[in-house]
Amino acid sequence: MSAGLMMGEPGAPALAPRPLRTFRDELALNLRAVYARLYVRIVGSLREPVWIVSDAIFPNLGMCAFVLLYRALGAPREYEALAVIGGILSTYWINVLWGMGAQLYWEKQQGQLQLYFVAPCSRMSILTGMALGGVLMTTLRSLAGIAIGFLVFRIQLAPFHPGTLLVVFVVTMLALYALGMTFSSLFLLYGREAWHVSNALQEPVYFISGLYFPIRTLGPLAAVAAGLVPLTLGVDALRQVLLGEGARGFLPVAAETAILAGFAAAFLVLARVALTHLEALSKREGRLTQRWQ
Amino acid sequence: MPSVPASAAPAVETRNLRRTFKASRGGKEVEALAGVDVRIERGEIFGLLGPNGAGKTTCIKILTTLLYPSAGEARVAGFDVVRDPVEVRRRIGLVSGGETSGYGILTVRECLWMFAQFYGVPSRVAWPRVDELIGIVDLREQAHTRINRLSTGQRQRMNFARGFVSDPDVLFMDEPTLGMDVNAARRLRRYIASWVRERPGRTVLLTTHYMAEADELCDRIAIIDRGRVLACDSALGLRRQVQGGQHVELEVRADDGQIPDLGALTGVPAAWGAPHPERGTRTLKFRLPDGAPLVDVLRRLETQGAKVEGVSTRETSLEDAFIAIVGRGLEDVEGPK
Amino acid sequence: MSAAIARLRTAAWLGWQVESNWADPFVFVVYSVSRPLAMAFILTGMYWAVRGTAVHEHAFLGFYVANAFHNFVTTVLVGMGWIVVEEREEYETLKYVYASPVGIFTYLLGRSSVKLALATISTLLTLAVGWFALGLRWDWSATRWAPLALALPLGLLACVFLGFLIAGWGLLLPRAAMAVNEGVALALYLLCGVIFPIDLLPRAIAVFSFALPFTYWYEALRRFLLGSGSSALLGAWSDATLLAALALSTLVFVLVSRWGYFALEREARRRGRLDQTTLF
Repeated sequence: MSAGLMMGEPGAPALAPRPLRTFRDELALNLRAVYARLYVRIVGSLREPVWIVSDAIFPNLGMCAFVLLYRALGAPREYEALAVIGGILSTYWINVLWGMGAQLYWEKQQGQLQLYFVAPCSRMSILTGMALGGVLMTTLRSLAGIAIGFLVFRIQLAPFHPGTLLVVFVVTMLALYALGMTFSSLFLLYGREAWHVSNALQEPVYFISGLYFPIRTLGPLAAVAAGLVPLTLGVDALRQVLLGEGARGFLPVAAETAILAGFAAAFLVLARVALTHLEALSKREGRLTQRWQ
Repeated sequence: MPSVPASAAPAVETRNLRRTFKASRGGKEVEALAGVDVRIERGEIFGLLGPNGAGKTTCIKILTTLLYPSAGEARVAGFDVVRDPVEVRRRIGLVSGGETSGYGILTVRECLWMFAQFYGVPSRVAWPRVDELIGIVDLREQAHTRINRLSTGQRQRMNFARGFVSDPDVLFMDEPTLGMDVNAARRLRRYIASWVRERPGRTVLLTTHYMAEADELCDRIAIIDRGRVLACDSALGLRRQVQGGQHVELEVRADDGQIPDLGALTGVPAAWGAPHPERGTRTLKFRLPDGAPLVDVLRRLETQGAKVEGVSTRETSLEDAFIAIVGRGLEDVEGPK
Repeated sequence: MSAAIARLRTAAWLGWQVESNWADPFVFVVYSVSRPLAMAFILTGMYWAVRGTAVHEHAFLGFYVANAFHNFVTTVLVGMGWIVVEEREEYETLKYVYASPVGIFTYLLGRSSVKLALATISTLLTLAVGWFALGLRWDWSATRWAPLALALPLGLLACVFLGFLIAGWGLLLPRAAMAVNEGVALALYLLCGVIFPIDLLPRAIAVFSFALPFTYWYEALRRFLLGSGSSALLGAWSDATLLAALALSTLVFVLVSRWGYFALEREARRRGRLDQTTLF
């Protein structure tokens, strides 16, 4: 897309019609939007360091509760590592719910959502920038959980291949944040109800995704759980990579990774469709710019 | 609407534009736009003037693709706002008065750069443009200040600058000088005029509550009330529509010291005006037809126990035209008797 | 006094207007019960994974009951934290509240009173689901109503003042950090014997547990409602000692929280946070 001439140029010619968009123009526009939104996330996090401390400490205390419970039950040591990994991944889930899902709703509440919807870039690119920023900053915070796991609880990992870990992690994040994008369109339409539903979904998701125990424990329900929430398979796959047999995995890592990739693709498509549909619905009903819904 | 090549199309065109809102919880439907027909040519500064709730912001929201119309059509730069929203967005900018300006955590410079990115402006073009705009809105000292530390007026100036950052073909400005001090508002009005003059084809659609702003800036003004365009002409043309006679403004007090009731006064032609409880008086504004002596009106008021404490007369202003067309002022509480 | 009550009533009315705007009753019921139930299921899952059997009934009942009452902590904590963020950033009314004579304490108390009411309903619903659907029942003849009636409001008072402390912290934090509310609620799981006896905590952590009123509150609720607690340590204390510990720790906690809130508020004013938006 042409950027237009600089302003203030004397004797500039009349406005020329804007050229047709090419694929390259579209890609450049949306990559710029991704970068800009990612910049906001990172800069925002770094300029508000006080929350990094509280965000690093308190959620991990909950993780510690579950580790100590396993100790009290006399569980094998790998269960403690299992709980630590679950605790670390729970921070990503929280970021997906609140840093992605609720974000557009909050932007609407503050009255700046309309600025996004007037811009020519795709909403998906803005959400992608948010997601990338969220993953980066959450990963930094999860280092606290990793430190607690290793230094305080002295968890032990099985030998693993870093490449495998990276692939499984990336695919899990893709699936989770694609789900977050889908949530964001629901939040856009349903506003406060979606906020309450998200609140209500936290612990049930922890349960159904086996964050603190092997999902295999649920028996046939595990299969249902795996089909519902990508977090289930992501947690299980990552545990298997890091703990080997001790993770008491549900399905082979390769299968879980492939399913997660399918989830990612499906949710990305669903997010795009949902966002387009819900944007149209919001515009029809006049809710797109309605604050305090 | 027959389609024309985008390059030859007017900047904005609406035909029978309508929008109704359903009230929640079983309330009545509200008709915000009741059939608006407007055509704005490229290169115009076009004003949309109307009292609160007239439909100005609804109209702008439809034209900027934030809202669908309930019926009718709207085109911006030749593209239908419903069918081709992306093409519309490539060509427009939006400035709204009193809105939240962006992320409080970012600096002014960063915020403007961010929005430039959303419009696909490369950074090598965006940064110099941002710095130029910051100078124009006189925020050089605040360029590296976080937005959540700016005053209201400074934020509004930043909002103003944001509208220009993508160098749009059509700029929608919804009360752009709201919250600004007089000097800043004046400076920015001059900038709007020069921005349009510099490159033929740039267009501005402006809504405002400030009559003087519309009078100073706009090539043409549409007066809108209750979702309908009541008149559309240049400021001079609108004044001519209601010319004739004098505009009189009186300040009156009742003999017993009370504020005179507008309904109780008779013989004063189509007067309107607000009470001033702090002074115990009421303003009476009316148009005295050619040849009608003012002294007769003053005598009639006196016999009704209304003491006239101040008199002023003047030529027809845009506000007079507005009041004559709409039937009340932008801020007046009561309409004419 | 009547002015203060009137302001409290107005703030409570406002809280109700905000809360009642969103949901139908069925969704509310699901919402109220899902979180504590899910936590109970997580505990069950963990126990089953390790032991291959169900949790011993009485022990599980104790955890389930404490978990149900933990609803108060979660709802009030999370609620009051979010009230501050919403008032500051969405409704932009926080600065007007501060500039008015209503007093922020009265205002927050009124606004959060609805949260307390909703938490009460959630807790009762959770206990009812446990009783009728999960067979988690206790012998009412073992319930001691008088000490229970003493213990319950003390714990609620501690909840409210913890909420004030979180609200104060929220004045300083950006919106994105409001997950700290949930984090504190989770931390109390660890520290206060909600899901396992505090006897199992390492000594270094147990010191904090004994300083918190919630530790005594959950133990008192279990003891006076079900007939026995879950901690061998606290089980050796008499009822009077337990109640005294609860009362004393609540008093200290209230004073510290109040002081802490105003200290945080002063810092927020110094930084100009009361009317800033922090979304990013």
